[in-house]
Amino acid sequence: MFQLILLSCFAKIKQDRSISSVYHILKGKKSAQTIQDMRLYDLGSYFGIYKSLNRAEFDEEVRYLNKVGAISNPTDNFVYLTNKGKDILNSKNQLDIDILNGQAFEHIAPLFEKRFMLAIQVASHLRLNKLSFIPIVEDETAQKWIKEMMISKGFSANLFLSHLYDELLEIGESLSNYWMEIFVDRITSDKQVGQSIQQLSINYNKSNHDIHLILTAVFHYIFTKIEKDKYQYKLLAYISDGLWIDNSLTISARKTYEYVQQGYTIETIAKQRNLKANTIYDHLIEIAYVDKTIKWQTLLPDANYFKILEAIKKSNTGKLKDIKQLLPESISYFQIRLVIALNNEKMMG
Amino acid sequence: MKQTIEYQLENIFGHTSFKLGQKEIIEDVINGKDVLGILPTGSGKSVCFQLPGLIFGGTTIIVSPLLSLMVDQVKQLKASGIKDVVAINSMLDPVKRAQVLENLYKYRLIYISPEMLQNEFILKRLIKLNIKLFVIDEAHCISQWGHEFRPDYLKIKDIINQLDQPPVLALSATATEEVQNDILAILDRPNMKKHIYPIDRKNISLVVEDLPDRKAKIDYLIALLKQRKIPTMIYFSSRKEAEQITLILREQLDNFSIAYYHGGLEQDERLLIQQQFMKNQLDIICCTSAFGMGINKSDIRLIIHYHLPTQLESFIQEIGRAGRDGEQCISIVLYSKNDVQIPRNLFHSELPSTDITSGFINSLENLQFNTTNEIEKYVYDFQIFNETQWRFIRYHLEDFLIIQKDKLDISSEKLVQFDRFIKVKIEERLKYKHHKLNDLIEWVDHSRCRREKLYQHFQSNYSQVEEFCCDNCGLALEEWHPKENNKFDGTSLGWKERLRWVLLQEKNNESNAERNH
Ligand SMILES: [Zn+2]
Repeated sequence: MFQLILLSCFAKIKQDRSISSVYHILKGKKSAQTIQDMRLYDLGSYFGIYKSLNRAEFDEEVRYLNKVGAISNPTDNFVYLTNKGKDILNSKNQLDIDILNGQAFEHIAPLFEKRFMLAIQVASHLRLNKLSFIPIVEDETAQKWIKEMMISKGFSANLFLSHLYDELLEIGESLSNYWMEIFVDRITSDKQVGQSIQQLSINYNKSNHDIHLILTAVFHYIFTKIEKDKYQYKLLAYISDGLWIDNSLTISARKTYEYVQQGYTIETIAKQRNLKANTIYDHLIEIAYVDKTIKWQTLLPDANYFKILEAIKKSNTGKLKDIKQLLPESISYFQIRLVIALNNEKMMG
Repeated sequence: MKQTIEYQLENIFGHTSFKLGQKEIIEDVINGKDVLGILPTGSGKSVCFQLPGLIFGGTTIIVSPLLSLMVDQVKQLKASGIKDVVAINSMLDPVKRAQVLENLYKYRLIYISPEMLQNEFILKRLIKLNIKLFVIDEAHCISQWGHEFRPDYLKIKDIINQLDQPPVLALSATATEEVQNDILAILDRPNMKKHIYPIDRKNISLVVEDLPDRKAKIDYLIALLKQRKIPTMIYFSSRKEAEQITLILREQLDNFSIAYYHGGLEQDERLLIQQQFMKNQLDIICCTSAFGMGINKSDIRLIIHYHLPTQLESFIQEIGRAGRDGEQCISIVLYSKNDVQIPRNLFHSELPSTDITSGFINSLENLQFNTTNEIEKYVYDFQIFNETQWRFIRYHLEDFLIIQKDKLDISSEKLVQFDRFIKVKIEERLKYKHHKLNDLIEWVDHSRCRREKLYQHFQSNYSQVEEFCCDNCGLALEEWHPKENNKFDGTSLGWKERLRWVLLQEKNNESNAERNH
């Protein structure tokens, strides 16, 4: 699969761009150049699908493609597909790689996967009343999310598992058995500890890259399904909650977003990142446009929220200054901007 | 009080009784005495400080050089519901670290690496705490005659003196008398109460197999392993060989589940392999010494050293992971004469070569560094020394006052002296390591009881065993019948069945389980 993706990329960029540009696409580099490449050469599906790829592995794979005669010699950093390469690309079933949609999902996939894996482990242990186990996902953001899920009203490990089973079974039906075998092997519950990428690679006689990409593709397929119908895949949609943040966030705001999700205060974030508090406030506004699920109450008491909302409605111009005049001194411009952002629906994912 | 600590033991850890030595050490610690505890691996050393730490109000500091051990202990404590524990080490990301440091007083147990302890900022924070107990784990690291000498351990004494004189508990699983005395002297606590327990383990049989080459080793492994399916660890000195032997064994041993583990794997992947082994989902694990530090698995039955270890201390520690449940288990060393070169090469990677060191000293004179950081960056950027080598050099530079707290003092005179000194020091360390290796080889070549020989360096006596003592006392492996691993279920099903099973949707079991609740 990885080789097929590489061939497809090289075919698309022709010899306009270097092989490094393909590497950056796969890594999902957020630079103006890479984003432009992605748009210009129609590489959106592969954007950010392989963030853990390192350059040495990438180069090795490129050298291999050259060795088997599928591409020209990569020494000058530019390659084209040989006839053999074209044949390989055309003869293979493209449906598999068509499932990938990095541009739309690259920012959802990593955290979703962590939540998904950890939630299954936690729910299966709770279901059997086993309270002592070592979480397989160490990511604190994911752990925090799980904790909140478990204490949320109406949470039942039993229902969680049975809904998840139904949804995965349905989704899996339209994927190849082969992929689903790998996917299920990867899951950790009370019954089994998931297999590492390395183990899957040995068991299924595929490269590490292919295993990674197959798992990624299954997740992308799940996202496509959720996007189409949140209500049919209620549980999977629930796991993805708050992750459908728009790609338009700047990298700096995204970093802030991660810290906010981990519960850090504005002051701590500003101090640690060596930024002014005002910059962090700007990030928060940016985030508020795209993610409404973060707990804003610490920044804005409920009472003020409603006051501001009313003032926005009352004000004819919608200008910040006019709104501010309708409100008590103590309410800041930031809080007003925040309420405006939170009530702006157009960018909701 | 006695009732209380026993009650706490059950309450916190779920153990109904203390293991050998634990209670005596804990009682002395609670009574405010300084204690040196030598307990065999697998005897629950950590309970000796975790229990008092959790009973005391205030904070317990645990200095530990082993990152993975620290992380595993914190994980295990958290899994058992004790949340106010933390590990401060280089792996913590800066924001998280800042948050931890701001809230240090909230933690009852603080694990910290010796490097972090030397960070002025962190030290200042620690001084403000109400520290009730100061623990030095792996205390043999303090002595240069200990098998894992860590120069930065020598500074611990100064740090303790800056604190409000809390009682000190030094723990180790392997320390010769020489090392024990060193610990007391370096900590400057001559009245430390010693609790020394024999480290020989009656339930571990000792076997050495002379095998001429790699092929013989592989044939031997396959013939041996295929007889019984039991939790097995195979230690390697090289990551690559661990991987390759895994592949060969997988091919040759049907129905066995085998994986490898070494420091080169991603953290998430390591965690999966570890837990598979814990759950007996894996039968055999091919690993380097990176594995096993924090492994709390009680039923490991067979420990094989595919390569020769570097000295008896680490060997004793590694085999100590077997049979913690007290059941019979076996250690087998696969020995081929050529292997001796492997640890020798390892020594040279642990100590800088005298040539490179001289070159480095030259550049100290010529490159006009202004700060320690500049030197350190230079060392890493140009890969002059690896981490272990640099730690060694750096310590001695500090000792010579060439590197000082906030300045450098580089003069030609001093450098000439240093050059002379460090060469002698490197030779001395190498000689020492070779001497330790020779002890090990002597043991391997020994023709009488291996048990007697193995422990003679560490204690005056050992418990004799009748059956399954060692190969030289006539051990018959075919008479050994340990309980075997069940076949791991769920592997042969198709994905739909397996998904159902993994997500606990098996109709029959489910309704039964519900009725039982
Ligand atoms: Zn014997």
